[in-house]
Amino acid sequence: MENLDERIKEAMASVFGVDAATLNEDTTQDDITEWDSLKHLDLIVALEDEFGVTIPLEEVGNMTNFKYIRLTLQELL
Amino acid sequence: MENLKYSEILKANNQKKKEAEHLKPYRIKVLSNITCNQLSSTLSFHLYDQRVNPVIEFGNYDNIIQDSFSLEGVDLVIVHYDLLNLLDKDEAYYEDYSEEKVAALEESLTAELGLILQNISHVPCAVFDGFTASAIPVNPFRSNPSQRIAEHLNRFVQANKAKNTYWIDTEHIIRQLGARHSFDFKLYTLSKTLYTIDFWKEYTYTLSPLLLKLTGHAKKAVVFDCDNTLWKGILGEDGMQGIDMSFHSKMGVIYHKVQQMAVWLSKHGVIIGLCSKNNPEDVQEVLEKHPDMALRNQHIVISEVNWNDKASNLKSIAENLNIGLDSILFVDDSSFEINLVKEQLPQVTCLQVPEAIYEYPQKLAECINRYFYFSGSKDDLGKTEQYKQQANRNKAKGQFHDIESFLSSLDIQLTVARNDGQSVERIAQLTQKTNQFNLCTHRYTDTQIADWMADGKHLIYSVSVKDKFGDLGLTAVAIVTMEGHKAEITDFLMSCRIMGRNIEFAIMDTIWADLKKEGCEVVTAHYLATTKNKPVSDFYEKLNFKLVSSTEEQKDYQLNVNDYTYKNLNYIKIL
Repeated sequence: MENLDERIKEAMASVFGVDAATLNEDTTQDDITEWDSLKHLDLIVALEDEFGVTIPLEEVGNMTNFKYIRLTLQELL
Repeated sequence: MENLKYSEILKANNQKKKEAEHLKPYRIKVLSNITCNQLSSTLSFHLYDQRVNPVIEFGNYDNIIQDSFSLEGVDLVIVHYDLLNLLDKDEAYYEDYSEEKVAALEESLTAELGLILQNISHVPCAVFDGFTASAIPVNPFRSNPSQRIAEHLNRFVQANKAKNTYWIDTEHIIRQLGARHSFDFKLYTLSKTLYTIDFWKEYTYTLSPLLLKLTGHAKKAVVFDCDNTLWKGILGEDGMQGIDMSFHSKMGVIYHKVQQMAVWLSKHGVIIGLCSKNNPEDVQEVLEKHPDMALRNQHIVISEVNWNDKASNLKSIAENLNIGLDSILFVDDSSFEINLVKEQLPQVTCLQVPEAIYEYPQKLAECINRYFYFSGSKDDLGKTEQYKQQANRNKAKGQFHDIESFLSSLDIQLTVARNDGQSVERIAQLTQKTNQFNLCTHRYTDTQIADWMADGKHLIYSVSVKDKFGDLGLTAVAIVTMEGHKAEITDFLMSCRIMGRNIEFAIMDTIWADLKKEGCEVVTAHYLATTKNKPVSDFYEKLNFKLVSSTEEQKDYQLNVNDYTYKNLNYIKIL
């Protein structure tokens, strides 16, 4: 589980160009200024690539905070 | 890059961006009617790797025509006009188009394309991605309107593009990956992001040789190990009879094919070198006498066959040829040697002979296609001979006590031409390839050079050099901008092949006399520092130019025409 958290944080850190240590369970789109709609696509591509999953279309728009991202990935993995 | 995950590419880019900050930016603008921001990540990754500092900007979504009017300051423009999104905007179903509808659509689109092609013709270089209908499933037994439209538009672009514009075969990239791995219809539905990250990786590699040529980072040499790289087996153990590179043997033919590629490369301007741990006389015997070899002495410019470590050998090869380490592709079968070189000489690009040996020729070809640009110009074809002459000259150097008597013995002859339209391509190529003796290191394209030759303000001097060992070809260029009685030397550069012979002073004498004749009174000049042009940092000081201003990156000079001291070197003849 911890490993999953770390991998998500790493991917987010790479996409937004921030330090992974600044991310936590409660991080949302509002906390990261770099998290705009284009970066959001990058995040989806990065997560799918990292975990080898296909995130359902209807979930893409909801994945705007760490907890929801984790939940979605848990269901897919 | 092909084995990296997307987040790893992004992470590396964040890091490398900081390291590249001090390099001159190379400005790329992408105009598209789909979202293709991932292209920026793959392009950046590849260019950072080659020590280029890309600054990539995107035009507004689906705003290609409007954006093509404002491309000032852009070094390269990429146009990706995607057929699928274009057809999807039409309420009518594209499979149901009538002949009239297809014709009308083609007519309005070619009018648009004509405008775009004209606008991008003013940029130093432009890339136009080919139209593809591969995202639309085809029925092999009927002719699809979408397919026909794509073909028609591609023919139009190819026929109407300017010389600065390169048409890229998008279909070819999709063929490499397969359509299933090229398109992402989920992201297309959400945000018009049609292509996958794998597509953009492959696209980046396709563009790579052009990008490296334009930024002066195309590679120049392939250096091969011998045992299990040029032939199967170990010469020192298996002996001349035991090694295999025969066209007629199952495994040998793989190595034979690799040798044939090396021979082909040597005929197309690429330096072929050997770097192997072996007894030199043994390798020499194979090169001279083994009946199955395709590669022979005549194709090889430089050879470091000895028991020294390969990093030192590669360094000495680079020094002898007067090329940068980053101009070398090194091929070896041993992971030990490859890792040693990667560790000690990170500038060298390495290819390890694949364990699945049947993939070797393909992998090598792929690698060559990514890092080498082939212009097909005549000058390139005689390169191997010229590099060999260079090696002979270096040998001859040893026989003389002082450099002057050595230079006198060479019978150096220069031909200086001004605004010679025949040489546009070679002049542009020199500005793109020359790193060491290059005072300002501006990279120019054919189009820019041709425009300047015609505008009446620029004097472009091109110098061809000959000596008793052979013809070195067009190897020096100076570009002067005239304004009234003032002349500015914006560029002065010389191929490394002719460095160390005081040719630069003879050229300057000639240019100076010409500028005087043109009525020029004052000449200004500059030195822009790069990591490679240190050797010429005091060139203008040597000519007694007055230093007007100086920072770490740039020095500006001035000299009155009458204050110049001609060197009148008696051992260089100007024809």
